[in-house]
Amino acid sequence: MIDLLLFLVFWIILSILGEIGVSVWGPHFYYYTASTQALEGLNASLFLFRVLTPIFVFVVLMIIFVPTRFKAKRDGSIIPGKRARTNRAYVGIWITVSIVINLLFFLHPTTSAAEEQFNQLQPAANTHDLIVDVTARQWEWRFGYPQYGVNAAVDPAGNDVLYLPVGKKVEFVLRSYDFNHPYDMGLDVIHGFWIPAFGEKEDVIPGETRYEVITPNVITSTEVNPMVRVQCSEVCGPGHPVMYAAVHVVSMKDFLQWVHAQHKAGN
Amino acid sequence: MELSRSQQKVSTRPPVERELETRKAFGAFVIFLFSMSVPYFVMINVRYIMVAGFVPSTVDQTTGVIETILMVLSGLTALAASRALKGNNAKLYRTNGILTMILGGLATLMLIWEWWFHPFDPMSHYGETFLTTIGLCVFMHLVGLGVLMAANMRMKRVGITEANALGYRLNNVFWMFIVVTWVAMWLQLYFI
Amino acid sequence: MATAVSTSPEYPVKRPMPPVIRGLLWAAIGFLVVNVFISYVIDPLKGNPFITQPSVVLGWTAGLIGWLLGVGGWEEIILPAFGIMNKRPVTATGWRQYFGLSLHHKVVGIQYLVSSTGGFFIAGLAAMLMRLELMSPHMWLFPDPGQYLMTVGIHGTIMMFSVGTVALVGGMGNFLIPQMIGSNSSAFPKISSISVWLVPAGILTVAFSPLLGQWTTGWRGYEPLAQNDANGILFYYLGVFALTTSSLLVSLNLTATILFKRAKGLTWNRLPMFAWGMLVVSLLNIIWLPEIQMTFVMALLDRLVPFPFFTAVGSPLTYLEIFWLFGHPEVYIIVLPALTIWMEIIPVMVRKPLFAREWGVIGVIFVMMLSGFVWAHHMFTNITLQEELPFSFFTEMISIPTGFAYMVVIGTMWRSNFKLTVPSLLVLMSMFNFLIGGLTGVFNADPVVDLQLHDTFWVVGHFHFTIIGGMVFTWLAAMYYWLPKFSGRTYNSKLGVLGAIWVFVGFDGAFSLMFLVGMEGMNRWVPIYPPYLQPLNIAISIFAFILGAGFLFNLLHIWWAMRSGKKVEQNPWKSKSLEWMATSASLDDNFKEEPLVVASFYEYDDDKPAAIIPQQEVAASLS
Repeated sequence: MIDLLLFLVFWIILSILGEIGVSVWGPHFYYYTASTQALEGLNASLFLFRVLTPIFVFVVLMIIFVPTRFKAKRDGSIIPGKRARTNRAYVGIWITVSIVINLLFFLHPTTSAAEEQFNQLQPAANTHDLIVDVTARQWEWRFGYPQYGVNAAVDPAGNDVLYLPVGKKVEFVLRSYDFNHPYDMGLDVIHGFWIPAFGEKEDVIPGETRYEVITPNVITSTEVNPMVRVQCSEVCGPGHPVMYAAVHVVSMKDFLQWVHAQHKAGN
Repeated sequence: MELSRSQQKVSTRPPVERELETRKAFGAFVIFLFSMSVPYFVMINVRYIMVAGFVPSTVDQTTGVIETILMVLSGLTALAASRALKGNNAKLYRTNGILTMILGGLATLMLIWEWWFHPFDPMSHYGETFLTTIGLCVFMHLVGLGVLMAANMRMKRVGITEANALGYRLNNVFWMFIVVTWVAMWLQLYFI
Repeated sequence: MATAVSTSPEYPVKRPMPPVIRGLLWAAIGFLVVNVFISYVIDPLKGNPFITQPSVVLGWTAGLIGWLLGVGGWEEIILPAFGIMNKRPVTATGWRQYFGLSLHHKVVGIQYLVSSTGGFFIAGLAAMLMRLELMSPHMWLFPDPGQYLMTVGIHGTIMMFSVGTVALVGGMGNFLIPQMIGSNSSAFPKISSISVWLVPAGILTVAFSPLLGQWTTGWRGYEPLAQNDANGILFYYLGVFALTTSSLLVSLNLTATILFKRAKGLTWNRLPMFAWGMLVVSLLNIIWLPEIQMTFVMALLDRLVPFPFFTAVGSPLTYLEIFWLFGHPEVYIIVLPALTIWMEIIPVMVRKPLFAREWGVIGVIFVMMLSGFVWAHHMFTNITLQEELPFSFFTEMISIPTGFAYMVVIGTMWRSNFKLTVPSLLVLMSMFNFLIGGLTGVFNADPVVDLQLHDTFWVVGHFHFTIIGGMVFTWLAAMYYWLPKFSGRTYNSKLGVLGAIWVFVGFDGAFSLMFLVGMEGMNRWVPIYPPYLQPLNIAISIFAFILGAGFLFNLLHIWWAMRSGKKVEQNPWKSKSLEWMATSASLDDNFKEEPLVVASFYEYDDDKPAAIIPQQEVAASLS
């Protein structure tokens, strides 16, 4: 009984310390966030950290507690006396708790976040979105703004670039084909559209169209933090590591100005 | 040498225990057959994912029916050969085995014929599950024919002993398995 | 049996060419003949180029058949099948047994372990090269990114198919299972004797795939990228085909052995936990390995013919689906034997009965069954939203039966008489690491978080924690624990503890930092990355080199211990399991007489033996 009590005391103390650690360090888990979707992911993972910390502490403490507390004192191979073969309470609690926690995780954050994502993709919720056509090929990203008549946005140096207005929902339309070789449109590979600071990625699959909805919530750019960059996340051949593009999240005014400049440049 | 010793052990054991050993080996063989059926399931799956219930207009139903009749007949002769083992009838086993090989060989030749002359379009994925499934069947049929041939030559050289009777039976069971998979593939590819 | 050469006088003693050399020769002949035939006779281009896709695939197949026949398949399998019995070669003795076909399960197990270890260090070398390259954000070690990606692919493929699925199943399984269930041989010794020779062939095929050109897909062979790659990808398909065939044959044999070769009295309630592990793993192999083989045949045809199965005009997602349909059970194939080895080692080390044994069995069986329902959690970024939820559900649920392994081991350790030895230390380390692997997996199971984690170094850290942490640490524990079974000798405790701590520090340092670097925006398959990620990568690389050296140290230590470690009695751990009653360190029959099992193997609160061997006083050694 004293063993159990001692263990419980350690477990509670260390779990509390762990939870404090989660509070302090947890919000930095995503390092840098620049969209509401990244914040949702961060909140979901903070919830997971909160629940998982006592479990982690429990097992790790067991791994340390048992060899120190129950260290073999005698060398004999047989310890006389009937030893526990099972314990209904322990097994029952273990199984119940693991089922309850997993069901909880499925309800929240899994299903609750999925519901949120469903809502974001509802047509009714997307009437005034900014639509960005994202085309991936080996090995280049191209960004088009059909609502503004921009086919392929490039910066003055001629590199593909992604400009987004802050606080406005953006719907990325993701397709993979080689726009430079229209005679073999079909022949490209799977790419991954990822902006680390936006907290979401979606694969770009040849022959299919995928959508991703993002609401940038901070004015930022690749120069401010390199996590704000478009990075191909799915291996797509030798050019995969260099398949990235700069991202600028700007105010609506600056965005319109940029669109104007793109028109002038004939993009 | 391990095996030869255990074989000696088998032959000296009482019949009940030997029967048990035979059943165990047969059970293990069924597990093997189950494993061998997985590629067929994959092909059925892929066909449904990619082309749903598409039966190419170019498949020759007559050839399919004749193949299937030949295969079913060869399954029956394989069964008869298997029965012949119970009476220790080596001659009957071989006769039936040769019949199985002739019928099965004819069916396989027809299968290869069909496979070779089936229209092929490198841009359409409709016909290709057909070609691949038929190719899988041809491969398995050839393996099965090889196994039957081995059994036949073994019978000629060694004959039936208590220790090796099961091997002969399993060779025929493998062919019956191939017959069953072919019938299933035929229904799937030509009708559904 | 080592010395008992059964040469009948009527067949003259002649020693043929050493099997391995003859295998290589026949393989070379097979390859050349078929390749020349295809590329000169059939190909309209008449041998220019000499190696074409069809010629190399068919040539390789002929080479593999030549290799298998040459190492002894011709005399042992083919000729007897046709009834020609009188050309058996002289049975090899001494060290020669290990370099040819052997019907002895211990020899086969050791052959598997050696091949697997070879694969582990070849793939490990690839990992060291990768870490060296990643110390700089620019290309410096490899001339171009494609070669780096090919190294990644070779590392993953060899580790997965020649170590992960092989070491504990083909190696420990073949070596231990017949002893553990009181048998002198496996059910079909011929199957294992030939299947082991597929492993070196497969490893070499993958390792030499660069000969045919760069392939950049990593171990998953993702389509349609695989169609764009150079021909090296062919050797990926073919090598994996050889390796999976080997595991498939072993699994058939082990299943039959466990089902049908058990000693009298070894009921299902008394079946050792490791045998349970082998049984469920074998069932997984029997179902999923033919599945991936068929998938790879289709991918191969996609290139050779070409069929448009998985290109953009076909359906790339179909490949991903059927690849992961195998791919996730694969990780349970790797880790389930490890979980059951914990349950073997811990009761012996803590001198307490195995706690809640039935829940341990239920756990592995449910993991086996659920593992087929979770595959698409590798595809949250590929599939649509409504497809995510069921896979998320099953992925979260599979942690319940996996957790039973912890419940059983912790219950066994609680209030026990814990002996901290090298095996038990390594089991504890394995539990710690696999726990991290499992808990980080909870984040991956949640789609909204996974959309950030997927394809980053977080995932690299996660699956290395499950596979190295779960399986490789347990493999080390098993090697130290069963070392006396191999050689009758034991390891040096101090060196063993040093080795365990060494790999633990290297491993946890390297892979826990990978979680951080992944969260900071480092994605997978990139030899070139933004410079802000360099400091963490340098730290990871340094820990990785420590880890690599640690594995080498453990290898040398185990090798030294087998040759000249301290000699120990037959049952040094005072275990009740049957394998410790069998002969050790020799290739004699395991049991002179069939043992009779009379009690559970995990009852450490009395000194009654769990099994009786008639006319032998082996049981006395337990007291």
